Amino acid sequence: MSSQETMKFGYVTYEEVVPIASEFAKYLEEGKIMGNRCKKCDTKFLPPRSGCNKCFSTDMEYFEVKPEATLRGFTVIHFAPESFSDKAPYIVAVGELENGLSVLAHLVGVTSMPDVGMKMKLVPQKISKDRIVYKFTKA
Amino acid sequence: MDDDIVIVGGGQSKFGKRKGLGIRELAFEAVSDLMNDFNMGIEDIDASVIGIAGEEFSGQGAPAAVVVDEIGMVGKPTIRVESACATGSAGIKTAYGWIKAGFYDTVMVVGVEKMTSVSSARATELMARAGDVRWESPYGCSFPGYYAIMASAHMKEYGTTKEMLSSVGVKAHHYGSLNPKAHIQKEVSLEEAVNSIPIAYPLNLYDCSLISDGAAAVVLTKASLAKKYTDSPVRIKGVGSGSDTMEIAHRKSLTSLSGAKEAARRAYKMAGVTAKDIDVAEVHDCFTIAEIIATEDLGFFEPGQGGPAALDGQTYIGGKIPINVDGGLKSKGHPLGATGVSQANEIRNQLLGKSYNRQVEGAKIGLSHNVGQSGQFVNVMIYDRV
Repeated sequence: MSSQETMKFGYVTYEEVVPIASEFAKYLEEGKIMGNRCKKCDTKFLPPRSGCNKCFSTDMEYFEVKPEATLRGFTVIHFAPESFSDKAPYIVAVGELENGLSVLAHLVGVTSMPDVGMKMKLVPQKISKDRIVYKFTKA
Repeated sequence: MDDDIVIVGGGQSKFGKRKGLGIRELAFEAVSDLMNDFNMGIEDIDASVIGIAGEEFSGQGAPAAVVVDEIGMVGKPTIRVESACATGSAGIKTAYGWIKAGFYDTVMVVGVEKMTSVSSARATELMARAGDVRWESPYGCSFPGYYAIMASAHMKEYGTTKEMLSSVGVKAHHYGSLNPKAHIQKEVSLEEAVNSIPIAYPLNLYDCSLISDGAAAVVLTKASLAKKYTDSPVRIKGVGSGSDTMEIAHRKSLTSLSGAKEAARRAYKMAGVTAKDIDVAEVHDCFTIAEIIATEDLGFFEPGQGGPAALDGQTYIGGKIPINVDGGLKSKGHPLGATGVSQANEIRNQLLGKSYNRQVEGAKIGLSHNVGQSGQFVNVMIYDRV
């Protein structure tokens, strides 16, 4: 891929897009949420990391994460950071997936106040030509 | 004991929207205040530790150097420390370690932040970047947002209510109204607080700490040298620290800060005391839920009981454990780098019986709890009279 085609994760990019992040974004574009695991000690990471923080091996392999999730906590952002001012209000949620993996993402498609413990799905969504995120939706 | 570390001086600027004052003037004001109550001069201090959380607010790169110059400490060893909102206590811990190591006898710690020269939306943006910028900040989670997520989990798990949250803000404003150095000196009713504008559900305006300018300073030395500086040293009896995952999603619990529990465990152990021995505490109430969780993590209340205890008035003077009776971050204000130093000052004043109309009578042992980001840095300190 040329640098112009690099898929970026998130609504805003604050740092240099490193390979582990652009690979993750590319998988999202294919509809897959990919964590990775350390081949030496089996520690699992989501989002993926370039090395294992338990044994410092960099021999990692990807695995696909099932989208089923449970809501652990959420907020409705009314007063947003400057670069999100035009998007408020929006819901930011933390959801637990399989194997104790857990991520933060927007929760969309809910019409009433979410209930902690509710079942959700984590789905990739392209938000512009070169940007993609995952979002929670009601299961 | 001779090698105990004691605080022999403290000073603080007025906190607030201090138009016309930069970090150097704020730091100068705090150090001047300290000097009013200090038997020696600036020339009797061997080194400085400068706590400033971010240069983006003040506009000055390497901002510690201008502070060192302004407060007359040029030529002596110095360092800038940063641990987000726990910067001030990180500074005190650094000075403590320097003296224990034998590098210097007497060290000044100055914490300062100039935050109001940028808009609130910009300040919210800058603070949101203290979340994980690769995986979490790109969703626009504000700083109140991270604590709001914890609040929603706490409400679900323990039945904590918005009223309980608001009651923490009401107390903060009550004591802030009695503190001439507080950013806001105004009482707020529970009804006003519960119905104030939403910032990040379930947190309203009166659940969130202020964006403030301010500075605070302390001088630390060995107990054996304390007499030169003051007749009333306050000992730092215990210091404990902890940390936590960068991504909030990776926490095992969203209703407690594991780093705070670890910091408390270490501080209590070093001081040889338990939660029951604490007479007065300063906890990091960047948000009302943060105070409720802090009172549980520190062992003042059982998990889930922090909310009901707050609503019941147990954290007022006369209650089980007076908390943040200077107004806390909520009403006194939260200039990031200054906060941890200001907490130490308040506990020092309380133990010396100098807190006037908000004095906890007979306070002998105090505690401060200073949290950086959403728990990534935590320092807990325990203090007593020597």
